[in-house]
Amino acid sequence: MATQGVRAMSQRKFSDKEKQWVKRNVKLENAELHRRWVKWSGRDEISVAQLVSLRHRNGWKCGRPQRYVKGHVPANKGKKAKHTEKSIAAFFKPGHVPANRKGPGYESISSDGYRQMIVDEPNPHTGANCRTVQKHRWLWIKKNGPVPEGHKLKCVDGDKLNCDPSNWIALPTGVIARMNGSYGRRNYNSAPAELKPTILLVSKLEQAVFDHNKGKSE
Amino acid sequence: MSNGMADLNDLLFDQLNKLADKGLSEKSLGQEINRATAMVAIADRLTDNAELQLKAAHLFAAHGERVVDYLPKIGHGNAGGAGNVTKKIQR
Repeated sequence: MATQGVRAMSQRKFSDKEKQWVKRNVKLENAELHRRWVKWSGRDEISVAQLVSLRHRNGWKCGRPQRYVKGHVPANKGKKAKHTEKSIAAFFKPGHVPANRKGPGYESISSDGYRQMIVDEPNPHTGANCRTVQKHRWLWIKKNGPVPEGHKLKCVDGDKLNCDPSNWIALPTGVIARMNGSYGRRNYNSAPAELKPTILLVSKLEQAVFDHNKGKSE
Repeated sequence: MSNGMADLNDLLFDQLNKLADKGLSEKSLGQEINRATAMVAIADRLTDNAELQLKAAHLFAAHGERVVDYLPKIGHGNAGGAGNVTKKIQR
């Protein structure tokens, strides 16, 4: 029973006899297979790729691993790339600056909602001549000095994009944790503005109790 | 809610200062710590309550007459509070 997609006999590239020959000889290396094929069939219009494709199509295995084996050496190992004049002309020249390079003063909003900007200071991590900083932090440190150890900057009014130093206070990490709304407790960020001072005080008080108790047990 | 929260803030602040006092005897310090722990728990409940009152005020401001029955303090308890909402809907 003929199935869909079967070619008419006149359109088939390989006769049944030819297919059997290939199947018998499939364990040969591709180039060698093609050489012998041409010798046996006289059909040099058939390419190496066509023989290989025939083999794949029919699922005949050639016994060789069909992937790079460990220790495989690339055919062009050690060769240098050949650069033509045209290709060299298209290279980036030394000192090329990308079109989307932003310089100092550029502001953007980071993925976690903080305003960040590029400032004209060497980057201590990469050595570049400018760096990205969080604007609120940058302004706060300029005004108030370094953030004390164990402290973080907390946004007072809930609008993280308001980078004025007066909107941020340095609080111990523990206090911030106690007002961040975990386990259904007080949530400073989502509380109405009238209640925010109270929540802050309660968190500070709770932290003070904790510190005292910790001091006792040490 | 009005002034209550401001007074509460003062009380909390005073307690913070008491705990910061280095001159306390061990017994007094213990007392202050217990007092502070209790204040924290109560203050949490007070803030929750204040938040509820604010929500009620917002509801009334946004929806007016329709919600008055369900807000006992504002609506004089005509519907006996939010607990009777289901009864009203079924009726």
